Amino acid sequence: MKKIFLSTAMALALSVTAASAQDFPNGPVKMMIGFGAGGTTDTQGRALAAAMEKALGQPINVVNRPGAGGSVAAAQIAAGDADGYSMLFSGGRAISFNPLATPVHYALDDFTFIGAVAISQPAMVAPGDSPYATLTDVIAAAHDNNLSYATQTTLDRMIVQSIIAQQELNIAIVPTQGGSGMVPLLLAGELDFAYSGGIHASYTESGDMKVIAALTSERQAAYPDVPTLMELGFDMNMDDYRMVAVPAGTPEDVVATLQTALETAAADAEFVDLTENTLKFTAQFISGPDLKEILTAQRDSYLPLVKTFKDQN
Amino acid sequence: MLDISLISTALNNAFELSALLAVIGGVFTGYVVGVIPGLNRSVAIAVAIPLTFYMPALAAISFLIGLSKGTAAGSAVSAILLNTPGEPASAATCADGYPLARSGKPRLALQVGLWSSVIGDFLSTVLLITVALPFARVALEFGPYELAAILFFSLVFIAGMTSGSLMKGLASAGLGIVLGSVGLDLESGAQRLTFGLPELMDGVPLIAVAIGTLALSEMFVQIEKIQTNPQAERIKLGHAADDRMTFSIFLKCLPTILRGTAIGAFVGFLPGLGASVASFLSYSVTQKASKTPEKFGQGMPQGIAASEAADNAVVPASFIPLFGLGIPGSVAAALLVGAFAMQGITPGPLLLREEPELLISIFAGMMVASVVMLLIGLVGLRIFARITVIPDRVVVPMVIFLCLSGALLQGYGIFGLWMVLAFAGLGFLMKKFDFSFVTFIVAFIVTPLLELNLRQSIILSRGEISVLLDRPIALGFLALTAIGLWQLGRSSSLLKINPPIPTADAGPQTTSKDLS
Repeated sequence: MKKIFLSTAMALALSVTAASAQDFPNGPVKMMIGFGAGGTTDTQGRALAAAMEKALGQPINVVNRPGAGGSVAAAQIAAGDADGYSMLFSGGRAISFNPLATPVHYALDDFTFIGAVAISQPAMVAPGDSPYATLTDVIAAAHDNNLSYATQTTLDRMIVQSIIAQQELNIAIVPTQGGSGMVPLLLAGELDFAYSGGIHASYTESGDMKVIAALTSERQAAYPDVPTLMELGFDMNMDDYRMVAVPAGTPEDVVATLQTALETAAADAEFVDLTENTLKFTAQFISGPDLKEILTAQRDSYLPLVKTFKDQN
Repeated sequence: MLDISLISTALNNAFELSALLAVIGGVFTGYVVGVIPGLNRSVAIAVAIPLTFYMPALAAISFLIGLSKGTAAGSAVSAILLNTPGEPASAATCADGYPLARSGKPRLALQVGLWSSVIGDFLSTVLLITVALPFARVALEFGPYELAAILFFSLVFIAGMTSGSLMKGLASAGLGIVLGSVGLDLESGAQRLTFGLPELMDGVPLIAVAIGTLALSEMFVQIEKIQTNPQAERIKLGHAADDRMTFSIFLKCLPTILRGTAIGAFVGFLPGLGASVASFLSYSVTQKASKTPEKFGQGMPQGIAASEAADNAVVPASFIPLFGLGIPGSVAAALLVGAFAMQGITPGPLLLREEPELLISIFAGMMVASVVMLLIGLVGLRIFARITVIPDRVVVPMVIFLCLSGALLQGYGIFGLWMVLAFAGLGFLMKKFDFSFVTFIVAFIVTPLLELNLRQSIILSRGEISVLLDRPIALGFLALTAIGLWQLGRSSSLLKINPPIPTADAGPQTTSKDLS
């Protein structure tokens, strides 16, 4: 009896490990989101997971692993098994920028990118009744007046620091935690301008805020008259690609399966509706290899910035 | 403008079966989650949000709001019966709830807790409905200067209610401050006490500290009690005549309830203060205002009332900045933003203009939730009071399991578990050697908020302290803080907030400790 039981158990165990290498996926897949529940990344990730489930034919378990701007989740995925059963959903910044500024145990090359599904639309905003119409006005005023700016991320802080250094401006940088930390300060008039990752959408509609610069590389559909940083003469952008990645070394056929599923999911009507109409991001599918090129270029563009300002901080 | 047909449609929607079921389901689930130590509101909401994706908007939002309210009421139960609060805000309920239960009056304690919770919640909801939209902008008057002053005041005031020696109180607060500073520096991004661990870059996770110090450590205490004193008296769940809340007791607690509601609503209304502070502040203020402050910590019903009224009042009040301005005033409100987003709605200043019907239906649902909470609580009271009959040998392992599961659910992985265990050990030592773990937790929670607001103030004012002259609210609270500090230094009798670990006789005890 015991022998039969043991040999059956062994056979089952061996067959499980054999089967998992073929016919990917033949079990649930995990999607790890690098940000907390309820935020835009989480909401978007869950909508994407729902759409991908249909395309993959297997359930997707969504797990939140917040911390360090997405770095904790990225580190976890990079160090995990490269079998395609765990994928990361995060902003690309966690991979293109974070390793430069914080000591994390992963780098861009530790990942194989499946693709990007949306581009967030960060911008610089000012109170609705502000005398400044664009960033140029702010900079002009900052030569002789004391102004204040609210930062939320290390990257936007460094960008503003480099602008201040270039032009010798009097701008005080105020740290805030997340969009909801910035909004009360801006609405109360304590600040002259601020970074916003996207929370400004409903406030520009109500007139409480206005956008003075687009931090993306191209002008934003919702604010076609607002110039980008690059147009204003600063060679920087904060395009943030919401993307899916797996550890480097994942087999190519697994990657291909995931990529097809992702492309289908990215076109899903409900997902696009959430992304474009509620979150006000640009829904756009970018394939894995293209994304890798874009993120690598981004990373290289951040290097001089980090080099100058990392030690100053 | 709002016209009658709009309101009546909205009310019709609110009382439709699906909406009502959503409210009842939410409150019930929340209540159960609150009762179970180790599970807390944020986890419950985070888990529930994806489930609400398939519900219509009103049902989804009503469910989640009911969930928030229910947890605030339910966490009183585990605080009173097990001395393990369901969330940090209920820790103040343990102080008087547990001794009162131990002294043979668990039903009285539970009833005081329930009625305080419901009244606090109801009044705060009324406040939300009447005040939210026109006056949400008043919250903007409280900038970083005001918030820093209020937080400073809270820290001093609550820390002043320490037990035993002043030195021990300062040590607890100091430890809380140090641990609250762990993480990345706000301006420079420098790593403070993170030991190179990315998991600590956002600070020590509050949930690990809360579950560890408040819940799991209490289980260690209970284990020790079982080992050293196996014959200890259980709480007798008899039908003692005085184990009921009489109308006269209720009347005595009423001023406390109203005061607690005001404090809780105030704290919830201001985005950026954090809800945990409300119940401690309410408790401390009530103790100070009482004619018998030394009896607090031994089973004063007012202590339970103060803590629970404030704790529950925070929830609806924290939705004021959310519905009025689009700024979430608490973790629950922030999660609600995600739920709204999933339904295609962005809460913001235009919410009333764009979704008036939905908003009114939500308000109606919230009033219903208060009533439902009372009914569920009254029933739950009878059921949960029976927990006291289950032997500790069975309760303790179950609670330990629930605490560890709750920690894992948060998403911090094995690292989170290690944190919970470490803080459980710390909490156990603090309880054993009578260091005020309440002071520790309050300091831990307040420190990052205080630092953020203080540094924002310094940067915005460019170091010019004269800017305070234009800010009377901030000056007012700083003056109160100064008075509090002066009293602290002068006064030699510091009031008790932690009961000593109950020994074999379950009666209320006068402390033999020297008040130094």
